[in-house]
Amino acid sequence: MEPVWMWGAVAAVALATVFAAFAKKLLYPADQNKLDPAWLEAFDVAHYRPMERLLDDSDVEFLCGLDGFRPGMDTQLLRTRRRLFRGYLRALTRDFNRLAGFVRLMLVFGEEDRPDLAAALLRLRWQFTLAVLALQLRLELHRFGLATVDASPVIGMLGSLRGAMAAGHA
Amino acid sequence: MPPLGSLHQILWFGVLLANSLLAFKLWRQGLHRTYRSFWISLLLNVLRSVVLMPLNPRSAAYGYIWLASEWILLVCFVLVIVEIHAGALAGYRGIATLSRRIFNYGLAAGILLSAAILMPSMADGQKSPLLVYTAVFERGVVGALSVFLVVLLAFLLKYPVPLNRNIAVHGLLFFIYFISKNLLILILQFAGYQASAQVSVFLMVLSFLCAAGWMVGLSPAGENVLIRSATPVPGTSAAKLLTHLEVINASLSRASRR
Repeated sequence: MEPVWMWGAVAAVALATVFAAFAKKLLYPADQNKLDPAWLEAFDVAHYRPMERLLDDSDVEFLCGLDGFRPGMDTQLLRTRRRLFRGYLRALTRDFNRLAGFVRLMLVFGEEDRPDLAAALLRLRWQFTLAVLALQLRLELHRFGLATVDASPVIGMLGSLRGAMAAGHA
Repeated sequence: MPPLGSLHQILWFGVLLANSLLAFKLWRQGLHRTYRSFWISLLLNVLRSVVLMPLNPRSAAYGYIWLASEWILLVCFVLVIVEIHAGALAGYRGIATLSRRIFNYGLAAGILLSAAILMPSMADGQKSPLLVYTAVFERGVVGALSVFLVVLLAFLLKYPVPLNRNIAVHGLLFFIYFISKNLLILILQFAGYQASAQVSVFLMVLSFLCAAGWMVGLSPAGENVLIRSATPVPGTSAAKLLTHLEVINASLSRASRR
């Protein structure tokens, strides 16, 4: 078999795989896209406020000042806090995606043409993705004491998305 | 395995038969009104095959008819894609502008990408410039439409637009058709024109399989079967859910103003 045909066959298999994934997602949307208004009603950005303080230096300083402090306790505390922070970040990302799902639903079935809401969603989605990536990088660097971690921008974006949603419909 | 010449002929007749049956089926089931451009392109394809059948492929008449019909069919391809776009997204007032933007940006991205890939081909020296321009133009159109379909399908994956089974099958089959055609064109470009006989066989197999897919996949019932309902909450209509959201949003807005 000539190389060009061999590469063609490889590309065809790759394309078939991509197509199968496309078709499956299009024809059988996953249950994770199910949106629950009860969840939206209970949703509150304040739930994520503890993230802002989880990796704050003041807690470590406080711990170091206590009687009975032993070396290594601060490292242990920070390790636990980073794990908690990652958990919060995963939940925050999931909630952002859910909210985005509600906005898309409002856009598709809304009675009014809302290009502004669509643009806001696109902008926020882009900013959020970049901010989460930056936060994950900073979290890794934090292990070596090379960076601080500030969760307020991503929490702010979650609030902005909820705000855009409310403004778009209220 | 039969020699390429006879295999070529068998496939050629197979594609002609499949396209004729498909066009007849669409007309019989009244789907030709919904997929008008697609149906016209099928008829033109069949007509071209019938007209070219008695002619010698090396004659000038064959070449001119083939060239003229190829340009018309390319225009039809564009209209078919417009039809798929309209079938999937028309009627949703909330995303009217977004839908237009997807059309414009998707097509622009496709044209730019195709133009970038095609630049070297334009410089190829060939005996017949008209043939070269047609081939290059065809690659450009097929490439641009493929990219556009990718953009459209990506949008449909993200947004909960309800789709009927016919439009989903139609869009996906065109996606396979265009992407595979692009791949074969690319192989032809790398392997040289001595591979054109094999590429032609693959193209006909592809056309035959897609025609068979349309025959099986498109039906009058498929117009009413929603494969993606607009109800993210089981047992709730989209309208009911939106009303619910409106109430929640209104109460949240009032709370934030206090």
